[in-house]
Amino acid sequence: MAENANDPMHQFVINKIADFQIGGLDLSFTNSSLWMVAAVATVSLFMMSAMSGRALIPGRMQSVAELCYEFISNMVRDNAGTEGMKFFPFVFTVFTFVLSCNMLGMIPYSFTVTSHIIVTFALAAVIITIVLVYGLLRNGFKFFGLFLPSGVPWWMAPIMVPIEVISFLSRPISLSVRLFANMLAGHTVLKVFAGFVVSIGSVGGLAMLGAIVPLAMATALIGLEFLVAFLQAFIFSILTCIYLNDAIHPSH
Amino acid sequence: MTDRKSSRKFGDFSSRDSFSDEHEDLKRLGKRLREARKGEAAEEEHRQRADSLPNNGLGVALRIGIELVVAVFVGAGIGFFLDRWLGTQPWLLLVFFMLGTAAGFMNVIRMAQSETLSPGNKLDGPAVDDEDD
Repeated sequence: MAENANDPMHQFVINKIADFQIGGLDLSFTNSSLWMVAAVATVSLFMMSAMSGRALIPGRMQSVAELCYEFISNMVRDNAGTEGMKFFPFVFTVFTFVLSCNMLGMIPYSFTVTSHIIVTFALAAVIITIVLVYGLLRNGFKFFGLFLPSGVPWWMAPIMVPIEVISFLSRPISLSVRLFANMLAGHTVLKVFAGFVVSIGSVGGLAMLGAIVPLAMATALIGLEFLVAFLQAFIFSILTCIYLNDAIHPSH
Repeated sequence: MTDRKSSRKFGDFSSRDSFSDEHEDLKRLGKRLREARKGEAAEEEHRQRADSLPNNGLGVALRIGIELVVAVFVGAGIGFFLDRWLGTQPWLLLVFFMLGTAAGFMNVIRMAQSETLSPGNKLDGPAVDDEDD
């Protein structure tokens, strides 16, 4: 346990809480699942309790909930048009889920769900599946116009189409890698600096004063991490809107 | 002006002082809200969609890097698995590696050219070209 405490990657270890297997598939309830449930519960409880008053003049909590709603609805309208508003519930869910996962990850001794690429990739895969299915249902064959930009001469098609397809396929991956890399890197750096405080502090004597430097650094980094936690949830959802825009208006 | 009078009459009618007070409060709040909205609208015009994505240097650099690298990996991955499937090592890997690199650069150029500095936008025009505005 003592050596684990100094390992900056120890915070990302997944532990089984309840073992649960179906047909060779490991569906155990892990600490990751627990924090996902916590994130969903936090958002649901917050939204329901904040809006339970339904006051004409919102109180403090209701203001926050309404601000949240308007923030996302403006984002969807700006980036995917009025027609994109049918995806508002989806984008709102994605944003609040990612945001609460990131923010719950900032609690000491908690687990950051979004620091695992499989979680972010699953989210991105759902988003890109929706874009594909909705784009094909709405636009039919015209959806493939996305892969051949207008104004490109026909003989360029054999080169442009594979490039565009690769560019399209790289979207869910870059979407998931961005969120995962930011959370993983931030939390690791935080742990490393916190580890410096402990190891310098354990030297003893006057050298202990040196621990102030990494301590100040860790304090500043915690502020930065809160910013990153919000920013990454924001970027994740705004890119969702931009990709949905492509499904709605593929010819642009 | 006439509003004010009618509200007072309404307050008298309900014969509850608190109600008319509340009404006045609401009106004052409405006025303040309108003023605040006016300021907000001006500010909004000033920003003009430029705030769609935060454009601080480090964030943009990281986004560009990820965008470039991921496309290369996707291209190389497609080539690798096509090669394994068709038994044409190493030609498709080489071809798709090149295509992936091209796709990565195209992503980066699109990011740099669009206002919102986001990947996936077309080369010309802003991110959204909606019918309704």
